[in-house]
Amino acid sequence: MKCEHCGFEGTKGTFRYLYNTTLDAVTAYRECPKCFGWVVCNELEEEKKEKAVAK
Amino acid sequence: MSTAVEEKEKALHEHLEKREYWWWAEKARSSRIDYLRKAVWPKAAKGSSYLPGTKICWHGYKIYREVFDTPDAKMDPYILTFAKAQAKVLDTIPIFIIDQSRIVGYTGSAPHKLYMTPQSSFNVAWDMYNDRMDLVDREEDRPWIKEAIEFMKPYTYEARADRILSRRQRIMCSTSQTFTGSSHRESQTYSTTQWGYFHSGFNNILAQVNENIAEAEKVLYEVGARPDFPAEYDALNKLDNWRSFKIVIEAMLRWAKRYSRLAKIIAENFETDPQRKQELMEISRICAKVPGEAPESYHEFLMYDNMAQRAKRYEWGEGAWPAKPDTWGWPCYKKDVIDEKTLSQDDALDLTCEYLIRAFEYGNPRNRQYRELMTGDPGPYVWALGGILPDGSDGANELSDTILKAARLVRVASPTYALRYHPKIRTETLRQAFECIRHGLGYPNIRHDDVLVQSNMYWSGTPLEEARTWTAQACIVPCPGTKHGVMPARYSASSTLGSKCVELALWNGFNPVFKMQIGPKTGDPTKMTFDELFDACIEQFKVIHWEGCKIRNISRWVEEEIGRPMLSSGWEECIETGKNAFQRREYGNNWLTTFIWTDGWDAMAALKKLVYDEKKYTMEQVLEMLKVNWEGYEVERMDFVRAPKWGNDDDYVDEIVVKAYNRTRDEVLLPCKDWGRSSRGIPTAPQNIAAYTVAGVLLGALPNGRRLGDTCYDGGCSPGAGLDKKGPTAVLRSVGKIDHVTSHRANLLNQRLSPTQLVGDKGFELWHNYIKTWHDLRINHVQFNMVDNETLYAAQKEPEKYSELMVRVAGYSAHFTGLNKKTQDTIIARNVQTL
Repeated sequence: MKCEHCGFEGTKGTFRYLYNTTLDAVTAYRECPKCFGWVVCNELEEEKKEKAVAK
Repeated sequence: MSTAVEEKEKALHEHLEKREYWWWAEKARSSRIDYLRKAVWPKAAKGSSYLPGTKICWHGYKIYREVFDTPDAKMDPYILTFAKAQAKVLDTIPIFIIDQSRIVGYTGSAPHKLYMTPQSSFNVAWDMYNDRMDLVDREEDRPWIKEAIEFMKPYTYEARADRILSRRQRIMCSTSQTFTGSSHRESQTYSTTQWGYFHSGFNNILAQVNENIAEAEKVLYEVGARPDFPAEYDALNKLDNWRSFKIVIEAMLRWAKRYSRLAKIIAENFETDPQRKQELMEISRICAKVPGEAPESYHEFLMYDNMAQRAKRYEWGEGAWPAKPDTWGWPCYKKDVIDEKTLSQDDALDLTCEYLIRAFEYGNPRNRQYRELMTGDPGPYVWALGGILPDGSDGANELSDTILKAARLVRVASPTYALRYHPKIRTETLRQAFECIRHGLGYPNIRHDDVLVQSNMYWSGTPLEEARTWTAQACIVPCPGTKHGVMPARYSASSTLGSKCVELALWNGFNPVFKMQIGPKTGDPTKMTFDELFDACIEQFKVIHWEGCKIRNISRWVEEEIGRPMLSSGWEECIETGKNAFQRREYGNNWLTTFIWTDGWDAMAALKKLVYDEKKYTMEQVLEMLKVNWEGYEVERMDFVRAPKWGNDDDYVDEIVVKAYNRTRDEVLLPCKDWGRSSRGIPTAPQNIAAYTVAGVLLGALPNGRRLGDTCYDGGCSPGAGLDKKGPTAVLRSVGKIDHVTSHRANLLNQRLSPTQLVGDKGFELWHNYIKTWHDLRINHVQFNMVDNETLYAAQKEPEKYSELMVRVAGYSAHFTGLNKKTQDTIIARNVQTL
């Protein structure tokens, strides 16, 4: 995934998990390891993409 | 009608139509109140920081440093030195009168300062001293402040409690693994006021103290008196307490007279406006009278209460402000406004508005965690209104209405209100309460008067008539305001993290967030049946709750040693018996607040469904997913999120939650013993303030689908945000399955309602019907947010345009833009219920 603030790219896991406002939402906030900006992450989509790449 | 008046009416109407209640308030209130409201310095923190410009008043440190270093202090009992130090503070603290103000008295040397009590917590003092917001006003004062903090350390409640606590207990107090803080680390307390006695005039109380001192001295010193050891021993045990009461009462009266002189000096020498000159002379007259004499007019009552409450706050920081103003102030209000009509309703409303602003102005220095827990609110100062009075009549009156009208005009976070609801409540008061909710204030919360009276009788053995005098001691726990019922401090100075018991049971007592073995080894969960896992949760909770209670019981011993002369002076029993506020034994109204309680039981329901009943996952797999905070297991996490959840009237999960309440009551709460003279066990009070966000990083991943970092459920018995899918009645039906009299001391339910649905009279009727259902289900509490998401998103985008927008967080209200983003997001995430 990509940081919308500084352009840093990395796997979802490299972006520190912050929080999710409701448990049933698939989007959550994560923190960019480079600029510490908050990034909205679609957890399900990112996971699917990463699993597809791994295959 | 003149054009100007017509235009104003039109503008007010438009604001109401557009639901811009904050602009409505600004235009509807008088110019005096508008000035005072805007001139006030809010003492709430945003996140963990005080607002720019806020400073600490270190005056107490300067005085205590001197007084505790005198030869007398080396010999005198603590309470006497404590009283002398307080008296010197009241004699020397700079005082001021805010322009246009008619109610005077402040705790601190300037309106932007928070007064730091030197005998409470040295860690809070250090935190203030070193705060990055530069809370020390003048750099050149730093050396003496530092030296004074170091000097006072051994005299602090915190150091004295730490001396007797074990290493483990100290670590647990410091790290917030299973409970947050403890009383000796908070630098604040929540003391209740005895109805009637407190407002009876301190000259009378002082006369009683002098009489008692004279009697005791006669026993000890009268020449020719027969030796009588029991009587002499008794007199010796009481004499220093009475002497300390005398010192602080006299000091408080001198302090009030300082205001009287100041008002007169300004009026006679500086004020040029004749009307203001007259007001200052009236202030001078009143301060020369109260709190020495009992108040005879509404203005005198407000001044009396403000002065006496403020003096109490020089002794110890107060995190709450338990009050029943519509009962306390009613005789004076009725005489002035209704019977004799010496005070117009508009002027009574203005005075009431200012009274609320003066209360909001107060704040006390808090430890960092507590600032986060109460982000956006200097309180909570929960004032109870209405209810059934001791004689069985309705306690709501015209003053209740005036207070609620004033609340809409000043829009402050604290005071906030608890409406003691019963079916025969005055309709106009209920309507005024609804208007406050409709204006988005989030208060009053609605409390089931009968359930809470019964609950007080069950847990504390309080007689019925006395239980009916209850005020909210903290956010939600009622406490009687009677001679034997009032409490010097809340028990719940350590608040447990309830769902931690489920997490610890899943990890055999190991805390995966802190990487420490802190709970008992209850066994490997992969080898347990569901019932065995449930047993393990209860065992873990036992250690969590009991540890918090034991630390509180121990720290109470230190409180007795320190005493509280000013607080004791307002309590009849202390004056009569010569015991300080902590030596006497109240009925007992003890509880431990339990934060984040329901998340864990939803997690247990998900485990029962997916591991034990359907066997879709093994416990090993669940633990593996939790270990990595569900990273890489989003599909599986959603399976657990979709499992039955509390708040949907689903017996599958509701039975688990109710069982948790009942088992913890029987096996954990009832076996505890506190100091109360007639109390039964030590109950929990599940609720959250802003702990549901703070604890998000203290509670790890759980099988309800939460990840470390996620916010927890926002109330004591609220469903998770957005997880109540079946409407408001289903929520009430779930919550109504809990026994609200015996299974906990009090509980908290947050709900969001639609502002567009509840317009006009029809809206009020709909809401009232909802309240009737809630009442029939005997639920002890409910509170509402009634602001739409459109407004909340707009406020996030352009906060400067919405600075007065308020919301209910959990247990308190706050200005929305004063909250951090995470807390804001959690409020937006709550489901809007359609009635």
